[in-house]
Amino acid sequence: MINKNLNPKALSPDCEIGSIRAGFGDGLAECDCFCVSADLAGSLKLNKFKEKYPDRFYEVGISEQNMILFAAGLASSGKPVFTASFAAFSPARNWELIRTSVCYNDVPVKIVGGHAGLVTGEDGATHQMLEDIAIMRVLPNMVVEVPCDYYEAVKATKEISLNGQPSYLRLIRPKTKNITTAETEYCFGRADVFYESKDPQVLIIACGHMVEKALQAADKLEKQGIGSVVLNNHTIKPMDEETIVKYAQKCQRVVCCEDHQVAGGMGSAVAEILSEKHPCPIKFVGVKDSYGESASADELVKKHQLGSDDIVEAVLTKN
Amino acid sequence: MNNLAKEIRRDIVEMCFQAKSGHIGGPLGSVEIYLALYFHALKEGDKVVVSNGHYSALLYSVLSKKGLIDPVELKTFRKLNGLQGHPKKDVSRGIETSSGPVGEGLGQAIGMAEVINGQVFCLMGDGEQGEGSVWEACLLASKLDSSVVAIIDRNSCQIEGSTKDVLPLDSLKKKYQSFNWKVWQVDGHNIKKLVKVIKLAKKHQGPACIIANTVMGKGVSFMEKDYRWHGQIPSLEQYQQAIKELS
Repeated sequence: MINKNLNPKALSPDCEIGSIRAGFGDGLAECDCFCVSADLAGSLKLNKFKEKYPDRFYEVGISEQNMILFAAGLASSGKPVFTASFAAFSPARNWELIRTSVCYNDVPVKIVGGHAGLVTGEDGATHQMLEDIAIMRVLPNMVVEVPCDYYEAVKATKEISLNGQPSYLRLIRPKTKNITTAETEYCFGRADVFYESKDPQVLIIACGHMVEKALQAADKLEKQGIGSVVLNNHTIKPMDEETIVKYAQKCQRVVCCEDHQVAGGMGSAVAEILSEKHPCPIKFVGVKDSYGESASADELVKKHQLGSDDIVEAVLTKN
Repeated sequence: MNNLAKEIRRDIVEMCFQAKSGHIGGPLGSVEIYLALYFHALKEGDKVVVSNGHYSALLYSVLSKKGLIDPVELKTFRKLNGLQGHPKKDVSRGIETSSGPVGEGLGQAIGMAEVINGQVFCLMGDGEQGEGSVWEACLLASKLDSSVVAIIDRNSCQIEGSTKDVLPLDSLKKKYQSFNWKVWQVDGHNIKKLVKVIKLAKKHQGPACIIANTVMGKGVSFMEKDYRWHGQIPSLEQYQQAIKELS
C-alpha cells in the first residue's frame, strides 16, 4: 500500500504538478546564506532570493570555475553559500575546483545542479547531465541529495543549508507530480518507504522523478499479484544502509531506478552496500552508457527504458 | 640579503632536501615578497591566499618565524602526519586555503574580500596565469571593484621552460590593465620597494596587481634563473654548497 503520509492523489492522473527547481528556489529564499549564479538565475529560480537579499546574491557570468572559487571564498564568512547552474556545467565543468577548494577545504558550499537527467529534453545531450551523481558521491566530505518533488526540494534545500558541509543538490527541468505534501515528514539521510505490500517480492529503490514512476510500477505490479516495497532513496550519500539492507532481506530482489548512467550512480551505491551486507540479485533501470539527445522528456524516458512499464519489465524478467 | 631572508632560504633548501622531494627554485625567488608582506605590510585581520601552493616550504618557514607553526615541525615536511607537501587549509595557522593545482586562489581571495574587514592578498606565480580560472576571477574582480591585491611572482619560468617558450604572457601588465586592474611592476627582491608598492595597491580603489620581477632560485648560485629547479632535489654536494652560500 502507498505510504499514507504521501499525497493521496500520488497515483492519480490528476495529481497536482509542481516544479522541483521552484522548490529549491522557494527553499533558498528562506535560507540565511549567500547565493552565486553563473548567468542562469532565471532557470534555477534564484530571483526570489535575489530580490529578497540583493546583498547576498552574486552574479558571476558564464564562469562556472570562478563561481565555485568565489563561493569558497565567501564561505570564509561562516555563512553557507549556494551555487547554481546546470549540472552539465556545475559540477561537470568545475569538478576539480569542487574537489580541491570546496571538499578538501571542507567549506559549506552547496552545489546545485539543475537540468539533470535525460528529462532535460530538447536541449540535447550536452545539457542532459547523466554522470553527476557518480562524480559527486565519490568526493570525501560531500553529501548528495536528489529530491523527488517540489515539497521535498524545499525541505532538502533548507536542510542542507544548515549542515555546515559541502553538499550537492540535484534538480530537473520539467515539472513533476507532487507525490509528497508540505506535511510529509522529511528526513535527510533516511530512505523512505513510499510503498509497501503485505508480502513484497521485490524492493524497488528510486530517486528523483523516478520515484513517481516506481510508485506507478508498484501499483501495476500489485494488480498482477506481485507485492513490492518502494524506497524513496533521496539521500545518495550518506546512503541509508540500514533501511536498504532491511528491505533487501525482506524482498530478496532489488531493482534500482534513476535518470542517470547505471555506472557509478545511485544503483551502484546500493550494489556496494548489498554486495557486502546482503548479496542478492539487483537490476538497474538507468541510462546504459550512452548520451541523450534532443527529444521530449517522455520520448527519452521511453527510448532509454526509464518508464514505469520498464520498471515492471525489470521486475518481471529474471536476472 | 638580510639574515632573516637567508634563514628562510636555508629552511626551504633544508626542508626539501630532508623530504627528498618538494619545490625549491620558485620559493627561493619569493622570499622578499613574503618578507615584505608578513613582516611589514600585513595588519591584523588581513589574509594572504597562497595560490601557487608548491611554494609551501616558503610559506611554512615564514609561518614558523611568525609563531604560527612550531619550527620543529619543519622537519615533518611531506612526511606522514606532517606538514603537507601542498598546503592544506588551516586558518588558525595562517593557511587560508588549500592549494596546489594553481589558478584557484584568486577567485577565493575575491570572495574573502567581500566578507572580511581586512585586506586580502593573493600570491600567484606567472606560469599560473595560464589557468583560465585566473581570468574568470579577474573579470569578476573588476565587476565588484574588489579590494583584492594580487602579487605575481614574475620569474619568467615554469616547469617546461621559460614562460616565453611555454606560453608567452607578455605583456602581463597590459593584460591585467585591460581587465581594469591597476598594475604596478617592481623589483621582487627589494623589500623597501615592495612595501611601498603594496601600500599604494591597498589604497587603490578597485583590484590591484603587483607584478614582482624575481629570479628563480635566488640566493643559490647554481639555481638562479634555472627553470629546472622547479621540483628538483639537490644532491648532497649541491645541498651542502647551497647551505654554505646561504650562511
